[in-house]
Amino acid sequence: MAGTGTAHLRPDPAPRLVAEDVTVELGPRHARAQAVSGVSLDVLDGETVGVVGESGCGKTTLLRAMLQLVPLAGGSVRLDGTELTGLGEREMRRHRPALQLLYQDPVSALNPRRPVHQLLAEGAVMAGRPRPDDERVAQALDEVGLDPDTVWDRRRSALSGGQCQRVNLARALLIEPRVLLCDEPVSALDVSVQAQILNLVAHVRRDRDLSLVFVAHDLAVVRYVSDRVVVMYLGKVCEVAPPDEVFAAPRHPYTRLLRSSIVEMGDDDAGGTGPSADEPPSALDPPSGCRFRTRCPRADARCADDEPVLAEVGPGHYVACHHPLEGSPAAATPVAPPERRLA
Amino acid sequence: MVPDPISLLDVRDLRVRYATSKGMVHAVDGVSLTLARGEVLAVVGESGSGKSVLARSVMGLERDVTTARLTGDVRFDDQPILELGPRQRRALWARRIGMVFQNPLTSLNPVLRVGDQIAEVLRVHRSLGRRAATERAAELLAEVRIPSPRARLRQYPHELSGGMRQRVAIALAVACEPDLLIADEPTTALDVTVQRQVLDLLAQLTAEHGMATLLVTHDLGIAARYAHRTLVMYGGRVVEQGPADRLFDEASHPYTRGLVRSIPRLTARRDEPLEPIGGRPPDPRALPPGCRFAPRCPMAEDRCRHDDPSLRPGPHTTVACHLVGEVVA
Repeated sequence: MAGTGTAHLRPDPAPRLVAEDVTVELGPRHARAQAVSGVSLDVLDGETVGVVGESGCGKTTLLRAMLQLVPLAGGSVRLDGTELTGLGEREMRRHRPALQLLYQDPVSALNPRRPVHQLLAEGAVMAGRPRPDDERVAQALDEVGLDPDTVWDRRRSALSGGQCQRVNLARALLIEPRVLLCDEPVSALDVSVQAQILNLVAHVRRDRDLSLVFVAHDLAVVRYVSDRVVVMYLGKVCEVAPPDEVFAAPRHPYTRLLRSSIVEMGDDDAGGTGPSADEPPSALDPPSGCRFRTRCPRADARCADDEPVLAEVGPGHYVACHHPLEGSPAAATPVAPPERRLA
Repeated sequence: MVPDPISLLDVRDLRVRYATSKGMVHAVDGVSLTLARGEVLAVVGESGSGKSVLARSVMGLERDVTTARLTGDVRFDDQPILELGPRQRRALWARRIGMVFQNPLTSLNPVLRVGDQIAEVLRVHRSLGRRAATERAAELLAEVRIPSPRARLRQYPHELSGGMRQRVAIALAVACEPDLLIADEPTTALDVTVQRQVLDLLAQLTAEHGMATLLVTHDLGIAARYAHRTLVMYGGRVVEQGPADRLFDEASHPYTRGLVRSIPRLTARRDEPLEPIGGRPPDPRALPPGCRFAPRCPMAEDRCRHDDPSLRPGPHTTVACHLVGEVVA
């Protein structure tokens, strides 16, 4: 099974977390779907790697594969040089605390019957850490901007969504992870609260030298938090690029489609031509060759036969396409100058 | 009261309260608005701001909620919606007012073929015969850009993708060429590449049919692009309204300004930190006295916590804030 390539991996210096050629198959035996198909991704120390894509592109499954919560049909996941794939459940329990997950639904991630201080302390105990004393729990709450005295005995029903996500973050931090895996951590929150959580996550990452994998469907959010952006489509990686380039000068036609679909304040031309009328094909029966070819204006016979592999097109910029878009800014979607806003 | 002759919809001082076990919930608290034919008005707000209740009340739907208390006046083409009986209201729905809901899977009948659902509307409200109704249903599917519409007529909602379902829901809403279309978060459940298609379609239909459209959304970008005017709601109140394309550049209300600054945008510089609004939206069961935004407002003064500001003209928009004129970037 051909993957989307590993050209974008950075073996030196040794990355903190590497997923190489990961394939995950889901569904019953007669209807196997490759939710993730030969995806590679690495995360350096203190780096944030953003993963964007639409629903069904495999971004959440990729996170679950990194945590070994779904069996891998192929490939490997390494954390600080230790191979995680194939480890028994008992050994995995030793390693898994180093990878903490921040969930999309912050409320249902909390046990409704436990008060906040217990949620935090027990998280650490369950991860095999010594039970933190009250002072450490209070510190963790402080760190995420919650007043320990106020929320100490509250249950999740007495907290807002944003507060619940802060509790989740505090619980994860008490476990002292190496990598924080964020699965749409702000998409369930109100717009005015999203920025609070984004700033908090960025702050905590700097303070603790955490590495982050940040999965979201919101391009602007991913661009804002990431050092490197990975674009996924139907279980494959189509483009890997620095955040400022990826949407300003996309090289993969799918990235351009994503970009031009975004309607944004002060963005007078959101990609002139407008998106194609088609919708993503089923992951149960993906197109041969390049999976995007059925919606791609540039597709030809070669795209149906050969699967494109990621190749470098600029510094830190990789694209898996036989007919990549021009890299010059003129070919890219025009970007309104930011200065004209909020005079 | 003499309604504005050109406005199709005229809402005056609408209040919607619900009696709950935890006390009175003031979902909509004194909202007035007008909407003319051919105009798109966006209602923007966060969850709990009252925007969906407003949309449903305009449709007359909240009248059927037994715990709801509605006061104020909603006039659609000079008919008082809130005073109409169930039969009269039902006569308006579909024929004159169409509605598109957030989740097409729950607004379509899961056990009826798509074609039959559309044909039923046409047969009931337009008195078309079976064959003519099916014919028109196929035309409607083509109009909402569904490929091979005749084949789709025979499919059930679960056989369609989310984007296709929402197109079917739009086809249903516009089947009888209503004068007013109410769209409540029509693309929130859809993927981004599909969202744009559906919104473009709505905009086109609004223009082609000369419909008035009330677009409820939490997405400021959508409001800015697709609406003529935007109304920003907070805690059941309108805090600001103005021309959609300029509102976000020239907003005066600290809440609107705060929203604009707290949203990451693709076209902003990445090194500019986001400026979140502190705190969280108010609980509609316990709204603060005075200005609803005062507890979160960085500029709030004493009077903001006691006196409720009313909407008045600001530099570029109409705004409910004591400090307008004094608010500077």
